[in-house]
Amino acid sequence: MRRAAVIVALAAAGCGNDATPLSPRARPDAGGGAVDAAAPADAGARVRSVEWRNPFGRTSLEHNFLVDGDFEWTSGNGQFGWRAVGNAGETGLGRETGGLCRSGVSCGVLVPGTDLLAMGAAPRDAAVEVALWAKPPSGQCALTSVSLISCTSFTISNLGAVPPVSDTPDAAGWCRHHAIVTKVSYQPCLFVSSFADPEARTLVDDASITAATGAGSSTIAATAPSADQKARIERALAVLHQRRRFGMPERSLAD
Amino acid sequence: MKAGKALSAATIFAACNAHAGSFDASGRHAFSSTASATESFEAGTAAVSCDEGCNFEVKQTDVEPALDGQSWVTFSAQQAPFDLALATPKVDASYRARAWVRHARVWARVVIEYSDAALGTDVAYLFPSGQVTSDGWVELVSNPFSISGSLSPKVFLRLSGSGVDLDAVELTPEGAFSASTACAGAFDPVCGTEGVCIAERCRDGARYVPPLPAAAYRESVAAYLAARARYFFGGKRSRALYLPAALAMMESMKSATTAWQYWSRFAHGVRLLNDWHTSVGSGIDAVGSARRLGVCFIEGYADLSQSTWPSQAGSADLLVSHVMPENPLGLVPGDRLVAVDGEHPLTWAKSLRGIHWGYHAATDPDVQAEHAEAMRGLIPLYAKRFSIVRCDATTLKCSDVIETIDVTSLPPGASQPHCDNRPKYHLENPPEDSPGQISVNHALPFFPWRDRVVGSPPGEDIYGMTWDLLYGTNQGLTPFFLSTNQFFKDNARGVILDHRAGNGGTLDAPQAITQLVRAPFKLAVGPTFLTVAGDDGPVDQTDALARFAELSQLPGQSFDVGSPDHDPNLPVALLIHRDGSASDFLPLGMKGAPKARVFGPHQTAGAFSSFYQFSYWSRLGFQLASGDTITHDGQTLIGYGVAPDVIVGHTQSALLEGRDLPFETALAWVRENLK
Repeated sequence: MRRAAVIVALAAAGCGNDATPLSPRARPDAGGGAVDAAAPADAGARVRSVEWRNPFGRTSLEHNFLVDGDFEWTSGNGQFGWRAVGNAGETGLGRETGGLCRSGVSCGVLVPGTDLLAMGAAPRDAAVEVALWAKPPSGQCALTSVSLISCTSFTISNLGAVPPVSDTPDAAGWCRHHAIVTKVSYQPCLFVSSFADPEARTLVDDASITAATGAGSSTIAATAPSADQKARIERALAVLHQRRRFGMPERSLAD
Repeated sequence: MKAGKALSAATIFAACNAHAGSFDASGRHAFSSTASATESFEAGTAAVSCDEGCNFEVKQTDVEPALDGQSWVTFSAQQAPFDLALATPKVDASYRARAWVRHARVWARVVIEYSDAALGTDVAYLFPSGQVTSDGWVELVSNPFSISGSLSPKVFLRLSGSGVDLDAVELTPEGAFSASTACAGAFDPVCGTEGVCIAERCRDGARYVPPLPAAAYRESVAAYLAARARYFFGGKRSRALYLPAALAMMESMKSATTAWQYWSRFAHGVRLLNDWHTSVGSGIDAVGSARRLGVCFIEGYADLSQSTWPSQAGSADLLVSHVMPENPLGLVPGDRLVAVDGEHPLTWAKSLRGIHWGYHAATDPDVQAEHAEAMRGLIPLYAKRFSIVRCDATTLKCSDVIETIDVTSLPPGASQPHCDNRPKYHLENPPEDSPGQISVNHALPFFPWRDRVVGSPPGEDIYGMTWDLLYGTNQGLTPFFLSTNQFFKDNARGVILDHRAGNGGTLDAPQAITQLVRAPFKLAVGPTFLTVAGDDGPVDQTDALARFAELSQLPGQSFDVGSPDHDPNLPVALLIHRDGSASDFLPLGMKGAPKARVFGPHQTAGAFSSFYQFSYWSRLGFQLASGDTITHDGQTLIGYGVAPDVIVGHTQSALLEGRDLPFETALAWVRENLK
């Protein structure tokens, strides 16, 4: 993890208290900006940094056509914006918290053998811009595979690959995957897999499907999936369709 | 470490002003000097209760440092909660609670248990404040809440979750103390704008919702949530009928100045979507009344009391369907509920949409069965009084006196019947695990009840199935439905399917049942989730037919009914009343079969979609219906319930006589059409 310089923020308004919050970003309601400062000489070994975030994730991306791109509204098991499917069928989606995540206060945990599906919808009459951040267990962004697929059917004939924009992660360990895919006529989903070592965790966060503005990457044409990819994607889609529910709302939305 | 162990109290006391804990420059947490109660799990001194189904361990490692001090606790509490006692000052005061968790989400709330039954149990839920640490800790915080410490309540932090690290629990004085206030009825102004009257007490709304989002992103959170509805909600009719009002309500979140205003406007917006699959939830759902009304109501026609209280145009009358031995108030089937707080009961129930988080409505705007079914529970929660007309089963006459009963006269603590729109059951050998489970409590098991119809002798051989759920798949009920089809073909000359509280399930279940009655037919496509964000549905029938043609080519996208092995000579009657979702699809699939008839008082809920769920921390969540269904002839179905072939409802006189008119009508038709 990046060992950032110690940054000391102004104390939050109304909370002038015993010690000074350590914060790269000031509390949103504080009214004052953040101040960079060196750690006091007697502060001891740095344990952690502290920051304020929007606890509902990156809501500034209002026109995100993923149901829940930032994992803030997804729970472990249910018909949520993210689903996890492994060899044994649908499984509880693991999540991580706090500053370990890229944005907001929750993110997803991807492990080899279990794939993630993010539910979405297509922009009207526009190419599809796809972005996602992944934090693989080692310094190779290619350990995470991200694809734009159709969730309309059980079967998959092609997909839009969403490659990492660099081979290695940024200083904080995160890899940005990004692509613009030609306009689609199906219900789009993101399919995310890990090729890391067994048991190794990849964090996934801050994903989006938006209408392409024309800037940035050139449009990527759909490609045929590999045999292994096709099998895994169709395994996930089968689970998705078989378990689609049509029942009474659950009053207890268990976590 | 395990269960129910009070390790000893280590709660630290202090007095004074509201200040949060903070961090030094190295990132080590320190409690506020003003905290009234703190816990950092040092030296194993926390007072913890963690019963069967909950486990915890106090930890110390350098790999993952504690937030405060050297220790923290890791717990998994799914079947039973993790409770941490908080010793609070014995003075009346207002507090804000904080706790830090890591590695998993939780439901977290401060619970305040009073010995005074009138005060009962209060709660205050904690949500992420937005303050996080680089090693995964998330600060949870409540809105300010009051504790009547002078009454010496038991106070504890209760958490549910799995694989959660917890540290730095803190209770700091903040805000002005506000005593619990008694109230009467849902709209009692004594509760002000920041509370709602539920079960005779003002409930401070802020206790159940996250803090008001910081000004920097207050508008974007509102816009983002509204966009979930705009882009993913519903189908053609439901979007046209309900989405504009819902979005307008959500837009008003942006001008909210309190947490309760903000989140209650969002919740109201979700409820304005008026959809059977659509709901919003929070901890306020758990607020209940101790009072019990041992009576179920059903829609019908009050033929014996029109001179006392005429029917209201556009609304069914509300009649007693069945009662429990406990707290029936002397009511009998056929008695009539004429008003709640001076309004028609169904009008009153609909008026609760602005405040009742558990509000549940049919997508079809003309269906009110959901409100009738919920009436037994709504009255103790939200009514001041209700008015009835009693009738005499012997003389078949009703009183000309309207009797008004105050909700405060309802006794507490008894059991309540399940309201399933069945005044009576009609099959032999009820599969009861305990005496009265079905016959008295109306609690049907998961597996359908299949047997001979009472009074149908050998030779006539009319059989039936009574059930509420359509959870299919090979692991669920579909194999049972398929084997039942064969049983009926082999043994029955007529069949009555009683599905009058149809709670839905999966689509393979109704597809399986239709294999008894009709030849194969591709009846419809969908429901699919929205392909294009914000799609308002087919613009016309041509567009709809094109979508049908496209989707019907894809595996798994069509609603395929029937089988070549169906029995064209077997009469099958399907009874419906309050049915939605997969239970909409069942009558849809039965209609049009040559020897099947659907009987009921009105159409189903019209919930022809699936849904997306959204779940946040501490019980805040919502669900949005998503998608539509398109028939082979180019009709969109969401919002249009399936009408019975034979419309037949209950009457006051028939219920008084112990009769079940819809069933009798179905039985008569089956007898006229025996195989």
